[in-house]
Amino acid sequence: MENIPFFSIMLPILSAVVIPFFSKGTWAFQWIRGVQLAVAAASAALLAFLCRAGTYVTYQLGHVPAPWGNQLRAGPLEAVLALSFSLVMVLCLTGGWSDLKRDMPAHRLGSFCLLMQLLYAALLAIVYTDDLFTAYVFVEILAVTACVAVAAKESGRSVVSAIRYLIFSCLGSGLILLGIALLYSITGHLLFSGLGETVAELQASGAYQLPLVVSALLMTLGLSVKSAQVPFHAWLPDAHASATTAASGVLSGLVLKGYLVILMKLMTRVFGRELMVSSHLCDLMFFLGLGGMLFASVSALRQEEVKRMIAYSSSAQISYIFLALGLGSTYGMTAACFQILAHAFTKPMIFLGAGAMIAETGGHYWGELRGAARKMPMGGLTFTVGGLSLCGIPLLAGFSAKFCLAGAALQAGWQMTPALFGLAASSVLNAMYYIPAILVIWGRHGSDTSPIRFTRPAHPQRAAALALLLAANLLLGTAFGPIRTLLEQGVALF
Amino acid sequence: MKDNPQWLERVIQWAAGQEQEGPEGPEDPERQEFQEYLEYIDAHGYMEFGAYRYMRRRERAALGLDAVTEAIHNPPHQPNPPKPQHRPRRRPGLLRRQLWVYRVLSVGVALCLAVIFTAVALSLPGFGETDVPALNEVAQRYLERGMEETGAVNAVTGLILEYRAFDTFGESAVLFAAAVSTALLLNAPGRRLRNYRGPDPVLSTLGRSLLPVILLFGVYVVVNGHLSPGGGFSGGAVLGAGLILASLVLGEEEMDRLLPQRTMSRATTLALLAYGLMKGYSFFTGANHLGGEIPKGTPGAILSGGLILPLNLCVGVIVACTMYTFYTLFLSREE
Repeated sequence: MENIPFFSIMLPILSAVVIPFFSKGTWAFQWIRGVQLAVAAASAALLAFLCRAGTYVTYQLGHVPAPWGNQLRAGPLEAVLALSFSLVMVLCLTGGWSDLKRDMPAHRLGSFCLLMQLLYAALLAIVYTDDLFTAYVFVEILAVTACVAVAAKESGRSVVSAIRYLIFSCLGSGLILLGIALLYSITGHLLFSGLGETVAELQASGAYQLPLVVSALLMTLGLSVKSAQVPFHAWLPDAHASATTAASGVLSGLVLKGYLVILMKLMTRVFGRELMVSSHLCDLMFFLGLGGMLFASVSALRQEEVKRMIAYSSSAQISYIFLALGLGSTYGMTAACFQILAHAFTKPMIFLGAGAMIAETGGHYWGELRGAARKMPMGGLTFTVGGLSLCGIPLLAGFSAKFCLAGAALQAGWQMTPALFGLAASSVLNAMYYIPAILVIWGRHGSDTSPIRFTRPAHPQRAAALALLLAANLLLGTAFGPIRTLLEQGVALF
Repeated sequence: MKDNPQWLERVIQWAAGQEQEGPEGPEDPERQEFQEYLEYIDAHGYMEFGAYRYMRRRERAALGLDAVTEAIHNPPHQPNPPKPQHRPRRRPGLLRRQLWVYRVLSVGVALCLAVIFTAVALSLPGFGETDVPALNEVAQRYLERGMEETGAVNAVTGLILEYRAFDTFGESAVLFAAAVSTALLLNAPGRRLRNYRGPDPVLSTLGRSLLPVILLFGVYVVVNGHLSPGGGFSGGAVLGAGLILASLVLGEEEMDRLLPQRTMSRATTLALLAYGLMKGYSFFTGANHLGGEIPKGTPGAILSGGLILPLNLCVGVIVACTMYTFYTLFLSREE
């Protein structure tokens, strides 16, 4: 059991490395999907084990114990994240495969699969690592592969947006690295637990407060640049809108979350909530989140292109997580984790549904998508359910996440009123752009009176992936209690 | 304004976006075009790849300099070109007028950061101070027991390939990902090496005598990584530079025959795979306390340090191949 975190990082990397020996893109695709499913099954086993044991496990990498060597650490929360990231990855690739074959020349598919597998490995490593520098190394892999996932479609726009993404991403990495360097020079540790102890000692003795706060600030800012929190979101809409469908889903659903996992680890294991609250970093995150929820939603209102609208909505959903983390409480952390799960399953579903409709009609703008759902009911249905879920309709994942967040806000002090106001306003704004969109896609096109076409789907794999994502969304919405208990247990052991 | 010294005048003009007349000034046609490009971006609401090149080509065609054979931006075989779905927002010149805001803001942000970082740097522990929390048991064990535990005389190599080998594996994977990404973007079947140049006579004469020394030195740095300063990363960089020099000296055609692209990518892949498998074995046995330690040998001998020598070789191969791959890929061009 203890070996599962190690193998779920090592297997994806090694399986990615052997892909150049495959002569066909399809084999590479089946191969990486198989590995991802295996890792998902192993993560589920690990999750069951850890929940029953009610503990976490550490894994020493090599013959030297932890503060000297590297170490992995897995608790229930890490296992949940690994499991859901694996599932979303598999579903995204499965659902986006037909678009991938259309968007990309055949000789590129193998390399694309390789990079996606490295991206997946990097995500898992970020989830499981217990070492700040290891986290940084895998952030780099994530940055390289995510940029190429955008550029690989190679329409003019995707190349430009990938360059912009690269620049923002490098800025974020630079800030994070600077923060790590400062922190290392005052503590001499890289392991999270060692860092946490030394930071607590420093805080008690009152020494080196300025470098400590500045390094926390730099890392928070760097991670928010990378996860497209609002004032730093300029790279996001074009990058997500111009990438191929599978890449959009993975970028929006998973890559942004990877950075937030690091931020959560820093908050709990290194700086501790007291420092984050007393240095007003929590307030900074809270206001970033509050502004982001409103600003990104208003920007989404103005979009005429479907994927750009969804991308702005991603930025708004990320802001919810920042708001929840900014509350600085355990409840806020649980709410943030729930939002991570809900968004990881919802946004790829919306992207895949929109991708299916775009593939059917060939248009990216609302004018061209009129009546698209009547031709592609499965895509339309998932887009509709996903949109309603983000508006906060009960029994769907988005509602549970918002409910969790509102519950956390009620426990907070002065943050309660602004947080509840932000939640309400942003839900209304979400409805203001999703509901017209839903009406447009189900509406009739001109004098077209043909009934809704229920045929056998042209791409059964995509339909199956969409159906599974739909089921996951419903599950997150209905099984609210058990999942929240699980996450609370995970946060307590994080 | 007249009382200001000349430099202040120029700073104000620069901040306001008004450049001095001259080669860099508005007379410069390239600059004029760039300004138009900015306005084009501004009017269309987003940056469009190739728009600048397309504009230049159109202008050159208007002057009769070269015929427009194909539009860069609109591929010719589109049966019905997409209709613009939204009217371009016309705000000509807005970006140019607002340029000074960005410049002033950027200077402000830079100054602010400079102040903060200076303050932080002044409050950091000084060099050589002994009474600091950063001097803890971690660094102490690396230095005191490093040779005994890793078998490497060079503490840095012992650190990156034994204590923190997982991070180094990640770094190698970053390089691999970068190489694969570049190959994915640049290596299309339609692309090939540009017209082969013959080797330059001066470079060739000098290079032929330097080349063996450089390659040998690269191998030395890699192989001696656990004994003397150096290791896979630095030695690999020397080897990669040597390969690039070889390509300049022997000619690209000859190098393409000696070391084709395929061999390079195979070598990178195999090296990373070997690293992963060797270190994976070591991680697995170490974590589960299964023993299985590779004998360390006598520190100082060439065959010592357990896995460090083969790992250094793998890292060296990865670095050298990645560097050379970048070089060849950026040489090739679309036909």
